Amino acid sequence: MIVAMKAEIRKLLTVRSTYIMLLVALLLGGFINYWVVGYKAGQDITDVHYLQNAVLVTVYNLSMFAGIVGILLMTHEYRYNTIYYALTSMRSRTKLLLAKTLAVCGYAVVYSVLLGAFSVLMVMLGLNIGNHELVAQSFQWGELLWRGLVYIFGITLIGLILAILIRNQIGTIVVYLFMPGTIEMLASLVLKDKAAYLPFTALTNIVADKPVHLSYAASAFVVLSWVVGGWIIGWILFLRRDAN
Amino acid sequence: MITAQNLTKKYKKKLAVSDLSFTVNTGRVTGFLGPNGAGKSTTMRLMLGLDRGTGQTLFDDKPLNAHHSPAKLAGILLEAKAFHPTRTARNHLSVLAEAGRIPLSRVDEVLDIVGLKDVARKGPGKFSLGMSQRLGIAAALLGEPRYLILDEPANGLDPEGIAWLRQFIKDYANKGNAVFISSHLLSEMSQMADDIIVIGKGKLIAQGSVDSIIAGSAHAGVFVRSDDTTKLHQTLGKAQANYVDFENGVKVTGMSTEEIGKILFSAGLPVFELSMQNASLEEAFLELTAASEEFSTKGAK
Repeated sequence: MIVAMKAEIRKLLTVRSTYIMLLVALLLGGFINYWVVGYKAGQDITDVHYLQNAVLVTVYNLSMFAGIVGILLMTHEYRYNTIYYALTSMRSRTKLLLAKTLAVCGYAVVYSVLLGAFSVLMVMLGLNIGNHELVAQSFQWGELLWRGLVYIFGITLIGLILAILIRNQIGTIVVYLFMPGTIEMLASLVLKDKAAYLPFTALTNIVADKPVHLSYAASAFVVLSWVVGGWIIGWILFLRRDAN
Repeated sequence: MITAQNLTKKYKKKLAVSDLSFTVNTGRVTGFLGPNGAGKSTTMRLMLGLDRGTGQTLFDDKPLNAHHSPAKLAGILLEAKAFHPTRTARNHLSVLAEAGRIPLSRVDEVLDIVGLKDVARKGPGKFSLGMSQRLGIAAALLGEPRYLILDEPANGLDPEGIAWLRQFIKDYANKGNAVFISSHLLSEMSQMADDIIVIGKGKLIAQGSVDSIIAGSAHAGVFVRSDDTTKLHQTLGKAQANYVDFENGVKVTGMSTEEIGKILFSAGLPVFELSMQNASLEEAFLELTAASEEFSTKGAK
């Protein structure tokens, strides 16, 4: 398993897209946090959770890029037919899938930490240059960690699971990008309050200022159910399908 | 030894591979031949567990994935362009080495063997087909495997590359390894392979040494010329020999020159020519697969 993990991490680290996605997220997150949250800060600067909210909002808005890295890790194998190397050098397809899942989770953590830390730095820089006085900040580390991590793991793993199911790179990315804004939004017209049980809606609720319909914990459970259920279906298909 | 047993693969209504069994022996190069669409690539994928079908393939009496390090047992080349285009050739092989429990030092060695050392740090996206094949061969050689399974490895190689590949594969097998290789280049195969497996429409048509396959061809036989063709026909008929008229004599199949010589001598028939007529592998192949061509050009005007 360790061998498979190391190979998957090497795959992640030896393609440009891994770095491009992180760089785009850092640039966007850096700019928004410097300019909007820092330099142009408003009345809410007196909030003791100002920086914590900035981190959560950044992770919320930009973690899809980490999901795309997860999608690419899986779909590159099919697009470039390297899947046959991956499967014939491993003893078990299950181990390969687990290794990919853990590698993507690891990347998501590194991505979030870098993005979060850079966001805080850019907010502070913006506040300083804009001559804003920030009140003493309090970080609810436990809250920040579990909500941030569930969100980033959730959104990244949903991307990976879609990739396992669909396998086509463009198709997966299109579905992934359209799912929250279009597919779930249309579904919510029919489902009304029950839309809170949809994966992306539940994910959004986890990082919302105030939870809607479901508590943070309940939303996390919904996301977990989708991820575990989706992964199991993907795993069964991965075992049974031809590798092409 | 690789033993493929009752391999069968069905795509909806089409039977791609049907109850196919054969063996690939160590110390020998085994050519895998068949017309387009015969099921060669599917068979290879079934052998490696990439496609789901029925039957099993044993590598030293165990399925490939039952071995501790499959990549050290079987080196595989199924497609030349199987790489991420911007991941450098060296990194591509490093990923495979990592996954296959192979020391990373081996990467530079195989790049040197296939002559890609100078482009090791370049993305293979712009490699020619020949260079891509070399990278694929390097990947197959990474684990110094006992079995090499190569699907059309000579595609895109220049004449020098083909000559190198031919010698390399023969040397590799001579070290006690087995090479299982599919190719459309029959002249190459006749020079490279010791054994041949021929399939058509997913079924086994013939298996044996190259010499035995060629000898079994209707194009092979013994040419006999005499001044008394009528008596020649009568003598051969009495001896129950299979023969056909051929040029200004007859071609006898299924008998050696010695046997025919003795028969004609006993009959007191003057013989002007008695010579072995060898078929080419191409003739033998076309004869064997005549009924199983999926995409034939015969009849096209």
